[in-house]
Amino acid sequence: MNGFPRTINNKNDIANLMGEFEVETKAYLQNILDNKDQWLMTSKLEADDAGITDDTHKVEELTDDDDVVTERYQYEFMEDSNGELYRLGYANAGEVEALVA
Amino acid sequence: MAKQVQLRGGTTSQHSSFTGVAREVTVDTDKDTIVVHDGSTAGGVPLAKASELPTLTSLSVTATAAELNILDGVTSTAAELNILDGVTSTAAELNYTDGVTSAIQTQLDTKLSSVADNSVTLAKMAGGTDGNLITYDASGDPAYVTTGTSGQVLTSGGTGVAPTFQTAASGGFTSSTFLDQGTLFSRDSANTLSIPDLGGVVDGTLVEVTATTKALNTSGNWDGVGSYETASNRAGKDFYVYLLSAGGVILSNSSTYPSGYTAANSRKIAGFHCLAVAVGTISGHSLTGYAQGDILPRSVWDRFNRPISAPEGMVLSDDGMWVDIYLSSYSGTLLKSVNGGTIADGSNGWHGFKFEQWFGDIGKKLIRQTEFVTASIGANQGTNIAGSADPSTTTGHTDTAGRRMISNIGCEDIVGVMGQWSRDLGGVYSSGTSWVNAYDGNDSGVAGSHHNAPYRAMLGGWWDSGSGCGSRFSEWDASPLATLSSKSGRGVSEPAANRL
Repeated sequence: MNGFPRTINNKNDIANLMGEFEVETKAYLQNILDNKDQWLMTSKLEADDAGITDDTHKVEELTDDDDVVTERYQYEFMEDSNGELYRLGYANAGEVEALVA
Repeated sequence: MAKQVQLRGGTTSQHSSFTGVAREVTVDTDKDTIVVHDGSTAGGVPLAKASELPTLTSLSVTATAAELNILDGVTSTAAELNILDGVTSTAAELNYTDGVTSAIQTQLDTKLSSVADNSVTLAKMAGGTDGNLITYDASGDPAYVTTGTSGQVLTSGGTGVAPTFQTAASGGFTSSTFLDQGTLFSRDSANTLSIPDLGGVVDGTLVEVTATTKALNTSGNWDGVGSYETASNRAGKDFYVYLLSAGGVILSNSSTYPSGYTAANSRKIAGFHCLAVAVGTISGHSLTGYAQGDILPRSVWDRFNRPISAPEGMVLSDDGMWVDIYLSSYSGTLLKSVNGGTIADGSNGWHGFKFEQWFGDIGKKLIRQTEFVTASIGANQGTNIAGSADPSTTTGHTDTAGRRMISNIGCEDIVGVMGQWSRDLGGVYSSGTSWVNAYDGNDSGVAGSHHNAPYRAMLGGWWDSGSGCGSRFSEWDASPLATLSSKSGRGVSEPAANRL
């Protein structure tokens, strides 16, 4: 390992980095926590379904070359279960928050 | 006795000057013996007395007269003859000196000074201590160099000083970055990595490895974390080869250092990515028959064969570019090419400019059309993803015909899933005299307006484009600021030129 790595693959790497690169590692984890919520597609809407639109819900429309809406999708702003903290091997955000604290 | 005969006589001195007549007998009164005369010899010939004869009664002489005559003329004294007392040599042994004409020692010294070249064998040399070496002392005589301790090296003391074993100066190779190898790392077979002859410095120690292979299905080849000897556990993951100061290499999923080792005593020297989902049988496809967890051959990288960017989740294309295996995901800090990640697309604000900027941060670029065509050969042509809908996450999908959507080099979802932003430009989307911002609310730390800016090409086709999808698909009517959930990105990176 030569400096802070460009890629971190798992929580063993986090443990390895906490000693020599504690500041950088905590900043890395904080970024993950700050971005754990993403707009995620929850369903494809039927033509007559208006969907939900508020601070945590939105509807994405796709159009064809003539700008005619062909598909509509419901999105929700929520924690991404395929996000980085889970990819690293943590069970939940709380484990990461404990490391950053 | 009736008559007494008295012969004439004299002393020995008187006899010495007396010469009697032939057959005359006189008496030497000093010696008390008779002297016989011959008429010519002065003093005559005195006879021996009984007391003067040796006692012969105990002798058993078998020598012949000729043999006894060998002593004729001997002048040695008894002391000289006694030198032979105790000699046990046989006549044959004594005869070894036959013909010797000068001092034997002198002759031997002469012989020793003229030993022929290459005639002294190791066996002829004196025994010594294991590990000693032979040198010469100040007198020019042979001497030993004392055995050193393990790891020491022979060090010259200069002229007139014998060399000695000494501890080597730290770091025979002063550069801790030294790493060289005979050939490139490569896939040997489905689950076996081929490791070339190599040498590198780890923790100040030069470690050399003879060309070998590492079977992924052997647990002992791993660092013990993750049970990666099981193929399904390797699906869609990146792995590394670490060179160890203790010798040899070990496989690990950790990008920092392997479990059981440290950053100091291990060094990452290569890596590879394993197939996420079995390819199945695809006639004419480079990866036909590949199973889940197999090594993707084009993903194998090492110091001499890797991209400028981090190499994880990438494969080497035929045109020399490294291409992301997966559509982009966002980790919270950077864009990644990972299996099972949420696809970064317009629904989370990823537009063309933003992809360009974030790819640039990690040594990547948006893919060009020419690069795309090369990288996507072997992928499904004229079909889109099964279900004709946004897959949301990356992995090894199949198309509407049940065929795996993977290119010959291993790029997943490259055709018929998402339009992929290109860095190719064409047409004009911002027309007229007005200037408009070249950024939007999805950006930060950036500003600037543009005028008569060109469109960016979208490549590969959409999840519902069906027959229009393929390696040659392109659409040139997207603003670089367009944010649609059907638009994502795929990074490419230039090959690195042996960067440290």
